[in-house]
Amino acid sequence: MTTRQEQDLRELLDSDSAEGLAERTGGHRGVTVADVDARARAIRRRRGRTAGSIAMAALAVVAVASLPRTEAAPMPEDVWTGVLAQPGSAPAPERSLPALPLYHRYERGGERETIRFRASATGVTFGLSCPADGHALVWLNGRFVASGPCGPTVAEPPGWLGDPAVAREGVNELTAALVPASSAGSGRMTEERAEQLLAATPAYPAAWRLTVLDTRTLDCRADVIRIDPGSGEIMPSCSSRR
Amino acid sequence: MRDRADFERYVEQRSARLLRTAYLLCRDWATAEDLVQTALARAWLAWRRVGANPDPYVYRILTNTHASWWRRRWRGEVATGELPDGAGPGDAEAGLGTREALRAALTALPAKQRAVIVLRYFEDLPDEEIAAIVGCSVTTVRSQASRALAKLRLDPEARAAMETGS
Repeated sequence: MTTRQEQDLRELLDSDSAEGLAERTGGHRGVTVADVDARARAIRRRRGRTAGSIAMAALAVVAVASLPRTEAAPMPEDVWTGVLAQPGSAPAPERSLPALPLYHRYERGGERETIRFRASATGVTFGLSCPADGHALVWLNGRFVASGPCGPTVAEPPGWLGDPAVAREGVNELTAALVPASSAGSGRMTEERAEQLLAATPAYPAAWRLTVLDTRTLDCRADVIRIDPGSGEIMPSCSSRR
Repeated sequence: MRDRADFERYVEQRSARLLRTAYLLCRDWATAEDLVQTALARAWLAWRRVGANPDPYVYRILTNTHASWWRRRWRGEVATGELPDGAGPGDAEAGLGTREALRAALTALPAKQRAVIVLRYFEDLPDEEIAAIVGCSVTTVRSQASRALAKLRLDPEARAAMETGS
């Protein structure tokens, strides 16, 4: 694709949407917070109705199951009976879970918090943003996979925690906790040490955030920088856009 | 970024841009407003989980919602046949024709290819971020972009490759 053709495409997209928007907002207010609130209420109502329908269906199943049982008369042997197989269509419950990239905010240190997310079987890596006196501990599907300090070498969090871990296909469970860096020390963090540290740390208020990314989409993110976990050096981000 | 004030600020700052993106996805202003309202409403319902940069989350809802609507509805769009050849330099009339043809070809693109083109050439997002938004690998993003550009007759090499089946 030539630069001129790319420029033509960019200009077309820009002018089409800008002209229309100008006309639209000339006699129209565009999208407002009030519009969004109204839509959010409608979504809540719809979800409520769906949940109600599911509850009613569950009640109906329970009611049918609790009816007195009757037995059919024995079938003559020369009468053929059969049921056509039907493909199953039960909705997968994990579809409602968030997928990668995942950003999760925490409000407390000294206690573990678990969230669930969907992923394909892929490498995941963790970005950390936390106060300078913190040290994060991360478990993925029950395995201790990452740990790392916040600051003082981390000038602009988030920084990366250790090597990538591997998520499994479908639902994954992420558990994370923050402990004071002073109690974490500078030695190698093992799962046993992490458990001991956490058990010895009372809960305390702390605002911190964990980002989970698919390693295949790691490069070139504007909101994430790379930091060498050993030296604390800020690594250069991608040099070219594509 | 997780309280109500943050959300309202985000809507005020980003809704116009999101509306333009949504319009480019669906080519209809009423549907674009519907899409943006739905995307922002869902973002608000999950605001605690959205994190410091809501854009990837909102773009993901926007493109997913558009794709599902695109699958469900008849859109009244008809794909164009052969596109006219490119205009010569200085030929303004032919230039306008090419622009119209390009617009028609954009409209005829499948939802995912259109989303990739819009995110890449309008939002200027890197392929890695587009992959996270549309939920596929970077390789798939690049192949979708290549196919879309071939359909738009902007990438002669890719078009030739598609026509020869390679």
